[in-house]
Amino acid sequence: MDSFSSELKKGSMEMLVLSLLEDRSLHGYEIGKQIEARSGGRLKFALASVYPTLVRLEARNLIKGRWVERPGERSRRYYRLTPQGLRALASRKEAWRGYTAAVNQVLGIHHA
Amino acid sequence: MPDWERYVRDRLRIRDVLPERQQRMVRELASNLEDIYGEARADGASEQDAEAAARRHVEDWDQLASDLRRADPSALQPRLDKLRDTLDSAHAAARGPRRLAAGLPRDVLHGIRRLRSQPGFTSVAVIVLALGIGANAAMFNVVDTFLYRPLPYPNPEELVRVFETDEDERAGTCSYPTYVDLASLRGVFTAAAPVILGQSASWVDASGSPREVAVSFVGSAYFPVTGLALAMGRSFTETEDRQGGPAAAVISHRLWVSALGADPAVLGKVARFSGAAVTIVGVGPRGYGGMIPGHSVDFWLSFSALGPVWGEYAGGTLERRGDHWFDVLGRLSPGIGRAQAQAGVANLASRLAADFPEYHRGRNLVVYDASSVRLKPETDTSIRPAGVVLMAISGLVLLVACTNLASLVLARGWRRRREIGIRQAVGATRWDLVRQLLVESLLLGLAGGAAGVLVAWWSGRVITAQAAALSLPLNVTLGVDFRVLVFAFLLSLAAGLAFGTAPALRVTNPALAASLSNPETTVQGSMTARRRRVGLRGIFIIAQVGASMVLLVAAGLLVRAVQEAQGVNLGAAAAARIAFVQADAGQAGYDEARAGSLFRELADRVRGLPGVESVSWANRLPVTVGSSSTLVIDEVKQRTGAETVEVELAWVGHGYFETLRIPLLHGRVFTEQDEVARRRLAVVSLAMAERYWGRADVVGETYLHQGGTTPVEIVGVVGNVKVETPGESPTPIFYYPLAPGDFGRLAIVARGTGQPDTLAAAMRAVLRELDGTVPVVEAGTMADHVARSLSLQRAAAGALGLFGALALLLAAIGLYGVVAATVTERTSEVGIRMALGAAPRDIVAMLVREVMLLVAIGGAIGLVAAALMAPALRSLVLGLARTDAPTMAVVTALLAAVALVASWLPARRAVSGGTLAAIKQR
Repeated sequence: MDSFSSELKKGSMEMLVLSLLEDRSLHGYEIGKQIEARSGGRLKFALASVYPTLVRLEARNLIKGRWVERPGERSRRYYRLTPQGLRALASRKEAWRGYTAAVNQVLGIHHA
Repeated sequence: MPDWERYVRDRLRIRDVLPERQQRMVRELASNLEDIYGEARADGASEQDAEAAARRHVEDWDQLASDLRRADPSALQPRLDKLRDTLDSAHAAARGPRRLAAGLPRDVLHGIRRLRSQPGFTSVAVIVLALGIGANAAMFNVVDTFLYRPLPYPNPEELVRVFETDEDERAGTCSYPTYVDLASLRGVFTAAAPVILGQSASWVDASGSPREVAVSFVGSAYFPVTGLALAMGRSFTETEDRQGGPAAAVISHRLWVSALGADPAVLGKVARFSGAAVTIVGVGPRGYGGMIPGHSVDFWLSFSALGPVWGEYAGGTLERRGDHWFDVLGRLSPGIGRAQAQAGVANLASRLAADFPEYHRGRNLVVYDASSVRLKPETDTSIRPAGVVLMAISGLVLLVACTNLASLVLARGWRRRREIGIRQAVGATRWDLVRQLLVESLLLGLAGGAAGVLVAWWSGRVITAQAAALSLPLNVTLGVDFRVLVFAFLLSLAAGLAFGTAPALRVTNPALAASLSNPETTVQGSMTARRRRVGLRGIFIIAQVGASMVLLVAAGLLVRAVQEAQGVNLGAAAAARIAFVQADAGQAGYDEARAGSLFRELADRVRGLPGVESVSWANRLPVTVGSSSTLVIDEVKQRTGAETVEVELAWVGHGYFETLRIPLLHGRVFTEQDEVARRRLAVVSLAMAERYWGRADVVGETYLHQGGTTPVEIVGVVGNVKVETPGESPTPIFYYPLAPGDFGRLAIVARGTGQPDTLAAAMRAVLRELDGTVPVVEAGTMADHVARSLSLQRAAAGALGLFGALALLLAAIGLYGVVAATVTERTSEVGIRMALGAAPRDIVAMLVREVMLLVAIGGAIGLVAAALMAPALRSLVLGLARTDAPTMAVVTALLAAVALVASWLPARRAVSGGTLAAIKQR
């Protein structure tokens, strides 16, 4: 059910990543998997779209990655939210709620 | 399992991102792909299926690379793009003056992008500018160092120099007694210091080998007056101001570091100068090289060191009123200005004239601001024009570089007509376009300037290194400082404007807009446009050819001057077949008797070498800067009233005049018996006889040494030689007979029938056999010796030749470019002419003829300018011809030949190749 347009997905990608990192650190592929799991399989992201988002968010200092080595595994880079990231997430959620509410209103969709 | 890191590295190509960032991305992507693969395997997928699952995550690697590039903070271009977008919109929104402010940074970004996108053009332009600006910055560095850089002293406005003028009112040095009188003037100076400038001495360095160092003898007040603090140790004491006191030295910080490895225990050590032991008591101020800008003193010596270092010459230097050795550096008392100080010293001068008329009549004392004096007021006046000439010469190189670039930029501008037309169509004003084009030129100028500073820095190092080899009387130190940077910066901006303005105005000319909008211009249109274009380009060509001509003529004149000076009659049979070895036995610890027998033995053995006809010795050879003596000559006193005259002096062995083929004109030359006569018999040069006695035959005449009582009898008159420089006018010199042991340092000269350089080598070998520890000061042929004395002129000729060649090369490139561009633009015209029956040869001839006409105009202007410049050049190099028809002819021919080739090549290439094809196509 991978039918959302890529434009639509791209627009919300950053927010999705930020929200996943809100309570725990994750590495790149895990983030993609989590999105898929939380959306019940409706949102699928390939590494090719997740990874540039991570690089971009880190460049803006909203998330911070570090290499973690575990015995017997190859090292992975885990990301967590920075304080700026936390603030950005809060304001984006706010904006998203406002925006979707407005769009819904226009489209005449009403939540019960 | 696949090697995922390699898999990623092979596919991910990200331009413009820092390598370590790229490495991190590869590693991280690989780690993720490996996870995906591992998970699929754990879920039971086959190896192929697991691998395919991982691969599906990145299908378009180029897209990923471009996404990452845009996301990565280390990538420059995306940020520039973004910045430009922002600036573009700011510019579009702004009006009035704000529009300019918003537009400028945007233009800079556009410019950087444009230049980056044309690496070929950009690098040619930067190299051309680097050479042009570099040459100027290097020259500025030289001229500024010697002539204009501020003095390094605290409160320099209080510092003055005091000079004693001679009868001709030329400012010169004072005697020590005069200095004492000056220093004791009440209320004028807080302190004044006597200095003997510009001396050299032979110093035995740490390895035990002798080397020539620059020394300056200074009074104990010297460092206190300068206000500079020594890096270590102390300055001189008053006891050390007196002859007979302990000899003391302050070593320069530079030499202390370079030769003694900044030895912290240097104080109290003994420095040896030609056998004299001098105690080092201090290390000079860091970065300070003494009173002459650009010249570095290696040792400051106390006056108590005069005797030990100078030997017999030193006697009475501090007592005699007639010995003018001393520069005086004074610090004015608070509240005293230069005018008041001048009044004070003038007062003293008239008192001295009354008390010591024989020394001070007709002389005056003059106070100068220390900052206004570089060497001496007199010398400064003659050097300053040389500085102007040097700057003018390098300026010409830059002129050629700029006009050259202007042609290039203009040609590029025509190629950009379409882009410009479009921008005009969408509302860009002419001012917007001109500014955009100018910003590009300025950026190029600045890049060229930055590279030019490197050129200047490098040439400063080369000059510093070469100055020693040039045997200049100066110990030159050149470094690029803030002033040079500012100069180069301003020059870069000026150059950018110079080569950018005319093309920018021309290609944005609205009158041409009509033809721009129509790519298929008519023949008529192209012809009128061409006429205008050649107009501007023609001016560029004329300027380049003219400037090249001036440089080449100047270089040619210098080369001729050097050639002529080398062939000049030295009075020594054109120096042919004469070899010499100058050795310093005193340095090797020989006393008079042992030195005598060493040199005698050396002379005897050299006499026995095959082919040797004649051998002698001297303490000073022709074309050598040496010492002079103050003489009292009755005739001179009667005729002119002058108490004393200063005459050059050389001590020579018997057979010297025969060996060097200096002709005997009257009387006789020295015999072996004369060698014990010391200062009782003299041979004088014709110039000396004529100047002081007014006739040639002065055999039997006598003179006195200043302060002496025994008359010296003249026994012979010989022909003139070049005493100090090949270019000098006849200079009086007198000779005394010399026994080999009289000086520790002596030159043995020999004339042979064979090759003089073989003879010189043989003479060196003989000396080495006798005692290998005796240092050779100089050895070789007389011709080499003269050539070395011309090294400054040679260096100047070399530098000018280099500039000239550079200018010629640039001009040739310029001509080539212009002809090539003209041919391309005139395709239609050429086609019609050919259709009407013109042969390719005629077309080539027509194109070349047009360009050569411009070359001829430029060349003629250049010749006139060169003729006008020649007198100024003469101030730089003595003995330079005013104009020289052969030189001019050769240079003209060279220039014409180069121009012909440079214009014929592209014309022929175009007509026989691409253009013809293009015409046929139409």
